[in-house]
Amino acid sequence: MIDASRFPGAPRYGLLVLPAGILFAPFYAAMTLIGAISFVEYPALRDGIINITLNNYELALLDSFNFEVLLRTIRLGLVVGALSAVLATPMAYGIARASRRDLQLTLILLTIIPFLVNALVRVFALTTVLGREGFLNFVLVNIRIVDRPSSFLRSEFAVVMGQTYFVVPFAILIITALMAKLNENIEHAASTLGAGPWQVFFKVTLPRLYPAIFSAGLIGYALSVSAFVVPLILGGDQYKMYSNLIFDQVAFRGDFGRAAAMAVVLLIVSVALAELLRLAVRRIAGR
Amino acid sequence: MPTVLALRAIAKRYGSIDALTGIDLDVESGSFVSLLGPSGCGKTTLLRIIAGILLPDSGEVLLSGRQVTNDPPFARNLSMVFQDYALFPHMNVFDNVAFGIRMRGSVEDKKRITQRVSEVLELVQLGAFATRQISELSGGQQQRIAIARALAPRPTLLLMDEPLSNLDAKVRDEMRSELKDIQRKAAVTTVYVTHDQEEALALSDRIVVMSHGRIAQIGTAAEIYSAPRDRFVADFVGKANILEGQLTPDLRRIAITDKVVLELGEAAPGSTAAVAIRPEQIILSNTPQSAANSFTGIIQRETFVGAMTYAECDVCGIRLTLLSVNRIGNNQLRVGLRVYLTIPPAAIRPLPNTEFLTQRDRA
Repeated sequence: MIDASRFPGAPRYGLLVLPAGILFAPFYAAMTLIGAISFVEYPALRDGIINITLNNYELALLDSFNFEVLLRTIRLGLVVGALSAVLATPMAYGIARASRRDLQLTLILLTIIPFLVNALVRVFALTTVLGREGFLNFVLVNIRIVDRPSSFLRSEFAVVMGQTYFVVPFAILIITALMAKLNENIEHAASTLGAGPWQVFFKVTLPRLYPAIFSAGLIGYALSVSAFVVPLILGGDQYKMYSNLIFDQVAFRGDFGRAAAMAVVLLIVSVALAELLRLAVRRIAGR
Repeated sequence: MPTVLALRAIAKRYGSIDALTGIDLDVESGSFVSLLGPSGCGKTTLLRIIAGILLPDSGEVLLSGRQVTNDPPFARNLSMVFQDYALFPHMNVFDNVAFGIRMRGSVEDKKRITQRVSEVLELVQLGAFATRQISELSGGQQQRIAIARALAPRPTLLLMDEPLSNLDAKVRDEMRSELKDIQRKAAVTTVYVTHDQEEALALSDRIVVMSHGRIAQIGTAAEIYSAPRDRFVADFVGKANILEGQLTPDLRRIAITDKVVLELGEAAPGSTAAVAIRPEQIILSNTPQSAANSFTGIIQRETFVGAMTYAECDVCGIRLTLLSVNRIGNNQLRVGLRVYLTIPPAAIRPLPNTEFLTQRDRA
């Protein structure tokens, strides 16, 4: 392998990583501080003493409610990651293989526009779809799938919907980027060898998209395990995610110790699971 | 010989550009036909129309007499080899080669698939490579696998789109001779696209020379080379001196300038406005000659290419390219040398003026 960044005359390595490094440094400093605070019993400094404790972690993990919400959060991440990757793949295919350039640009623009709308506005817009008087109920009642409208809000369904809605554009852009680079002749070759359109897609196109589909799923997962706004509005009090519990500890109890411990737990559990998934996928793909 | 492929009045437009116009072609069973032309002449577009990857705007494609003009590629029972190989990178060599057999669905039996795959791998001399990954193969090996993959399902027609142009010069020469062997052994009707006239001359039973979306000439390699039908073909296939001139009223001589009047082998068509002379047809001597079309010239430039030397020679103000085989005893051509040359009348090929005008119009 040629190390492209090290050819004679290349910019100094340090300079290359410096700008982003400066940006990230306070983040890691803050994370270190959070790691430290997670062992502190609150209210701290009551008698000028700081008590070191593991109780915060006990509560974060072993409290049955917290544990249930942690599992629910991981589940949300997995479901949304998988769902958005699956939903995004045909769209990415459509964008990359659009017959005309202007159609391609229009589709990309339509994908990006949701990014330009404020996240809160987007989520509130969804409440008008999912609510008792919402569009979804209107459709379901009119095609007589349900007799009476009932609110879909404050449920796991609503949170999954909202979060997927939020994540799919990322997934589309990631998969489109790889799809656009794929050699179309490989599909033509499969077609001349007798493969019908579905066989070409499933046997030739899709397997080459797996790396991007997995990346898209992973990003969907990462964005969802840390979800805060969507569960706050669409899940409400009945359907909280782990981030909302962390917020509650800070906002209503002022217990930074517990909040910090819970943040650390969420970080470690979600990163460990992502890594496990990556290894599993590599083992399956590597054969 | 039955006709495997027939094209009838194929036309294709891209916007305001005529990519193909009035293409008629018959390809006989077992033959090797090349579509030869410069880039942009429509040869790849035509190949893709035959494959079904593109649809023509008008005209018909018939495979073994069956109308397939609007059929998708998978319903045509043909195979295509691509310039960039287009192998399936996520499958190993075996699965690549077996793909067509499995898709055609005619052979369900695992044993027979394995047998057929090793058969075609032997044919391309990569019998031991079945379990390799595509990324482990060199360019030449990848192209052999691409050929094996195309041959495995026993297609009625094999299409090849510049299959050698991505290879190094040395590998390309080896593959070129091997390709002909493979095609003969597999006895598969082949349509081959190339911009390389040497490749077309070496491989083809028949060559279809294309220019600006039209067929300029169809013929065997020898016919195309020795009897080009127009200026474009004469110029594109091989080297040629093309001299514009005026026919004498008896149609037996052509005046290039006042001083250079060439005697023709036989009466030329009245439309003749130029002649083509191949460099190797010009005879060089050390002494003045008295035969028809004998001139004196001065070498202006020489190009040594190993087996021979090409030279540009000034003959009464006309530039002629000629060549000399670099054999011991032959005079070495060098700049400033005075040479005596003779152009045998039979070696002068008259060219009609029709293509002239159109060539100029298009340029």
